[in-house]
Amino acid sequence: ETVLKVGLIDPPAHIDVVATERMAEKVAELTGGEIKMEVYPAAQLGFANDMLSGMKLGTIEMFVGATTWLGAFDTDFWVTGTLYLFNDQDHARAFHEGESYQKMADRLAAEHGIRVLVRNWDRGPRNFISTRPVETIDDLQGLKIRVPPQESWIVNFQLPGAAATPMPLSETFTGLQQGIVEATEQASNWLYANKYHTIAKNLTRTNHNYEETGVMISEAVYQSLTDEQRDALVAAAMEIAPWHNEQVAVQIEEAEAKMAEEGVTILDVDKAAWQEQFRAIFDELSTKVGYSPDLVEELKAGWN
Amino acid sequence: MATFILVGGLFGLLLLGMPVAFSLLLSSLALILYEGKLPLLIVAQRLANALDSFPLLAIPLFILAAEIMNNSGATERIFRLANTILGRIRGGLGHVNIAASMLFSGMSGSAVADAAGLGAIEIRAMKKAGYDNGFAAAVTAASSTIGPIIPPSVPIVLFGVISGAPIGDLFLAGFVPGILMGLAMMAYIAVIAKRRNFPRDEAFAGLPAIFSAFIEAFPSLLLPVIILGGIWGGIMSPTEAAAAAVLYSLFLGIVVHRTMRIRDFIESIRLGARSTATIMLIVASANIYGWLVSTQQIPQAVQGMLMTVTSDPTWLLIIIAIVLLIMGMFMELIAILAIAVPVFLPVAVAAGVDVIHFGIVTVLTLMIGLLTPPFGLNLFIVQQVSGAPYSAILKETWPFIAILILLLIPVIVFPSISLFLVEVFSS
Amino acid sequence: MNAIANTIARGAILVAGIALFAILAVIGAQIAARVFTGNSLSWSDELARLFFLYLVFIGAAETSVRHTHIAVDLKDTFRLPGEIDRLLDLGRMVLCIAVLAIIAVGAWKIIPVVENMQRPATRLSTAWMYYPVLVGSLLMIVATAINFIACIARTSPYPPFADDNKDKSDSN
Ligand code: NA
Ligand code: NA
Repeated sequence: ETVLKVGLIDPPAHIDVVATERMAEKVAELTGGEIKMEVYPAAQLGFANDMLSGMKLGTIEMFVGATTWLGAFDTDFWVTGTLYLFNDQDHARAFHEGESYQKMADRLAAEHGIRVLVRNWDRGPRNFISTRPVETIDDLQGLKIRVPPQESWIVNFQLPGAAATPMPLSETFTGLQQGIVEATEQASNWLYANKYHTIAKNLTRTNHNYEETGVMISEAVYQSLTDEQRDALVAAAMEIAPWHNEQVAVQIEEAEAKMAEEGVTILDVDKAAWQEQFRAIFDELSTKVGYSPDLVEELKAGWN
Repeated sequence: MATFILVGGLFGLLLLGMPVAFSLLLSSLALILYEGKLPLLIVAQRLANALDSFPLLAIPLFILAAEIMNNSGATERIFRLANTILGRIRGGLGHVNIAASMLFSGMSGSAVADAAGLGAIEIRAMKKAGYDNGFAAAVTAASSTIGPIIPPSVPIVLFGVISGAPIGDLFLAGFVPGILMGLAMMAYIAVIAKRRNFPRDEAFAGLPAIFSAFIEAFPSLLLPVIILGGIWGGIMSPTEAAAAAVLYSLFLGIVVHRTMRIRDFIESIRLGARSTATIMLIVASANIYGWLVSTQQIPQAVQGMLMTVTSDPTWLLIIIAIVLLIMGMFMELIAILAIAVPVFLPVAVAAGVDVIHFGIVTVLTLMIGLLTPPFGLNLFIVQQVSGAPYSAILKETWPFIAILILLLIPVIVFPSISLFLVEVFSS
Repeated sequence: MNAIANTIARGAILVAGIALFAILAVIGAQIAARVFTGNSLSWSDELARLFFLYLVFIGAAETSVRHTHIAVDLKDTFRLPGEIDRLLDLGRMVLCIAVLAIIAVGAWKIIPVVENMQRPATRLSTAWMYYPVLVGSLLMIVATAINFIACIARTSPYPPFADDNKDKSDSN
């Protein structure tokens, strides 16, 4: 029996944790109990970066989380967090499943010892939630919006004129409550689960980016498995994906309905205008952050 | 067995005089070795990550602000202001000692900075006026526990980081309990002043003197306004407010009072760095220990145990306070905070205790631990400052311990004593 | 030996002091940037946290030299005879060295692994987080070993806080 410790930073009720547990059952079934995935949610085995390095140190065998964390190794992985990079959810998922992403993943496995087995578990489109209404591009000017403390995000919001305020996620709720920031952005189901609608009454459905969750494994561990065991891992994760993504879509719909019920104003943006604004700065962003030119050109070619 | 290694190991090592940080690390390492699931190097990883936290940075900055206040002439001015107002009353310097600590609380988040800095001035003045040395030391030790209840506060920042509760709310919640602590101690002094025939100032200083002392101390008294206004006005995070407090106290020392030279600043930095390193090594070690405690499901076990006794939030808080009081007799408060909060907080929250209320009760209880023997840190400090024998100080400290325990009861039973201001400000 | 101890203590507190000053400067700059330009700095938070690690782990080496880590004082608390406490102290120091050695080895192994992981805002290598852990624990090992030898030889230990008159290194 091979034990694989799988770490997640999300709480036990999070869809990624539930899906990983399902995956564990499926893997046990497919391998006749040869592989036992032990799931550790809620950052019990460390935060994202600890788990990424932990896969090489042997503190952990697998990590399930947003693929954008991999930007710590290779800046190109940050690119999929860019605002309005993708036309819609299907476009985003297709890119993650596609050839050029596979190349990035192969490079990662060879150079950094981490293999991304599967990367098509949707995280849902991210939206704004704010203490003052945000509807047009002009509303974005000077908007104090929380961004992850990461260069690509900060540049992405500063270029179109927002006052991007880098802040750890753990401080964001208080920051929004006390007015240090006026807005933050996450998927609607996440915002509802974390009660952000109780302190900020405007949800703007910007649908500004689509990240994917990746199922990652230490390359050394992966190499030690038999072909059947490797296939079982991939097959199980792939089998869960449609169910996972359906659940995310349902959760988002429910979350938005409940927020509306609880007095949140839900706004929609003129998506074409927002898209144009952010796509116009993509070249400058790419140069500043340092994405590979080939990748940038390929992504731009996919824009409608 | 795992629980025994963690809990028994820690207390065993502490009782053998092992430094707190290393007791925490060693019992954690022992558990990791025993379980054999994780490699030992995870300890180095966790140590670095435990301190990789922006809110924690408020702690060295608040410590530094207090050091600078002690070096900038602000402390003397606060003492003088309290003295011109209260010196005339019988037992005046006793009241002054407490009032000055209440005023100083708004600038300092550290009981030790109060006892060592302000305390030196107070004890000197009381000795000169003919007070018993042990009594002077005891009042100083007791009154300095107000510092971390009235905001800002180093232990409250730490509680906020561990619990995830908003530090701004916790700060507000400490105000009323802190003022009650001061008033209760002053009431006690008023009672015994007559009986023991305490001295008082010959003449009333007069309104003009009070006014000029107030003007002198006024810039220092503005500091809490900057800190809390900054946090509550949405201008600054608590960490930024702590940095602003340092910059403002530097401004006072160098520009306004002109009592501070570069050398004093360097000295403050050195003392601040030393305190921070000693304390935060414990915090980082406790983070690892706390993580192992949670993976062993110890909080759930404690919850199960306590729930069989009571599920009433008030009684639960009382039991937790008793446990913390006992721990406070033997351990350092930062370590208790880091170990006990992850265990007790989930239990209390499950029973319906408000997180903010829990935080104030916890910190107040641990403040009492600074006074209780055998390991009462404030007693050691005032002993060094005053030169009075330990037993004499202890004898005079008991009534203050009793007062604080008595005060703890209403603070536990009536959550609104703590939560009232938070509610006013958030609506 | 005293010269080594002295150098460690002074060097450690110098580095820690500079780190504390740097934290103040960086966060001060962060406030200034937001108040005066309306824009936040991207790197300040992350850089300040990095300095914090140097402040704590290097600064703790001074505490080890002076043998003043916070602990229950058995002589004060339980009126334990000094001679027994001295023997116990030898054992405690051995245990501390063992713990520190495990930490040093851990940091040593982690550094090459995280060498090419970048911190998201400053783009500095994550290894910068572990250098202070490695260096700090090595300094603490040396300092504790010196104290151990001094304790066996019964020579007078390094003065706890001879260079200033504030005695308590603790703050609440
Ligand atoms: Na006092
Ligand atoms: Na205070």
